[in-house]
Amino acid sequence: MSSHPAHLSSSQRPRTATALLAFATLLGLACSASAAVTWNDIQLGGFASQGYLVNTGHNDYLGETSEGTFDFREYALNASWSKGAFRIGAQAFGQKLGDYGDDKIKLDWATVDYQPAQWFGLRAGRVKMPRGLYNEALDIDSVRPFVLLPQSVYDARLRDFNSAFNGGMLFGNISLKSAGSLDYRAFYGDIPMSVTSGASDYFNNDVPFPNTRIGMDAVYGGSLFWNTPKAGLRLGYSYSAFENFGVDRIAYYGGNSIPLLKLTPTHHRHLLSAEYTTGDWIFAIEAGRETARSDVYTGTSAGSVVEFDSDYFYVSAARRINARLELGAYISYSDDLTVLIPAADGLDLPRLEQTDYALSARFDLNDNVLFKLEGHYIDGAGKLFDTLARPQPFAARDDSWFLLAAKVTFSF
Amino acid sequence: MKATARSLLVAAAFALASPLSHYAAPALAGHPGLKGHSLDAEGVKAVLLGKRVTIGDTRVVLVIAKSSDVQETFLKSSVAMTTAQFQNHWRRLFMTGGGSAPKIVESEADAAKLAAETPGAVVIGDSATLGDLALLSAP
Repeated sequence: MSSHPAHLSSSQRPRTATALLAFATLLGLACSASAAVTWNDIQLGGFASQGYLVNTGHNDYLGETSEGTFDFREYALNASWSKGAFRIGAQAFGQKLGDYGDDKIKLDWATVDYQPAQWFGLRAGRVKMPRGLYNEALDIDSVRPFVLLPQSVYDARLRDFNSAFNGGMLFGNISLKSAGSLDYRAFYGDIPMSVTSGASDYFNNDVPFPNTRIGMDAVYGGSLFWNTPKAGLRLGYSYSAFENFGVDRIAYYGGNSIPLLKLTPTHHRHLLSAEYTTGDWIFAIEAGRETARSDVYTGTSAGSVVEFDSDYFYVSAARRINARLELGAYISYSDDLTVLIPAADGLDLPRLEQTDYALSARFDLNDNVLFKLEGHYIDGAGKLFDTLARPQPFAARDDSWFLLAAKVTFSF
Repeated sequence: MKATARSLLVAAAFALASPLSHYAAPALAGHPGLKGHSLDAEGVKAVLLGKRVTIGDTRVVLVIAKSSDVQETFLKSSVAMTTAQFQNHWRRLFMTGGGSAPKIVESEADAAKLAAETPGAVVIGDSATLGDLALLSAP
């Protein structure tokens, strides 16, 4: 594990983390407004966070968490301008989460909006992907008490894959009069992918053969949310699909290396959502399913079929206690099953289950700086990645473990 | 004697009722340029939640106070949110490319003052102290 390139500069990380933390705190002390800053009709917003993760045992979950890691930070700066029915904006974003992100600044979103009517709008560019209750706001710490969103639905390692797509989206809000209203979104586009991303490891988690190329022809889908007549209650369904999702891999059998292509005609993702806000309480529940049937080619012939089936859900509750304190809790469960047809000798793929019980506390130090502390008891280790760079064979994992997460965030 | 006592009671009731009526009517108001427009309950909700971004041809600019009892009451009744939840809703929108953030000021009086100076501004205030602002939704 220690041979991974991301570990070579570990001695520098605490210094970087401390510098970021000090910068954020100073900015927070100097800043008195809790909202975006406006300059010549241009709105500016942003955040910077630094976290720490450590768990019992030897599982490495979100980076080198078994030894404790400061490789857990995010930062962003955005600008936007609007006039009449038009709005344009963009955000630059960087992160480090274990082996992923590597503090490289990327274009997180960059959109042109045209919304001539409440029921109809068009958004184009690099667009946040609508999926469930919180996918568009994955890293906005200031809107929730949790350090980590329920990982069964919002896996932090897949942020670069799940958060946005390049393409276009139709959206709007349709009044149903006394029956409430409907928010709809429908999108089509593409997600550029890299073999160094968390998504590459996720889609490489059946057998630890290295990916040499990963990509898809298109992503499409949408979401429909019903804002019910019951105040604070909304119910939704999200669907997304990856079209011709292909992975080139190198397989090793009996001392030979064999190039493989794993091609998934359509990878389906479904998610049902419900959120209820009442007084100082927010309750949420989401349950989803992913299915994919992939053909594995060696040369030009299809050798075998891989069937993937993932089921997941979480239930969460959060309560604002006072202006400085918010508490939250959730239970998050996932169950991934991959089946090889025909089964290959020596490749017995286990059922990957994990249940995460989390308790969180958020402390608002001032309008701009907050601190979060979160404890997890995790039953099962199904969400760990087993890769060449970080081998964690299923049989060698700790099945019952505790994870502590802490994070300080400055936002404006 | 009875008549005098009754008169005193009525006077006392008026004296008490008069200042109370000053705080009893939260309303949605806007920049004077929005005069002539009005919003029903659905329209108020759509504007406050960013689902409707224009009134007429003018882009809506929400102005809210960091803390205000009138605003808290109005938000709870119109969008079922506290001021903190409302700010979170907008933070989620503008940080993800989904809307323009409200302008946040210290007090209700500051909000009314800024709304009077900002074309397209929409603000929650006490209907008795709106001044020259346009009344968009009657209490």
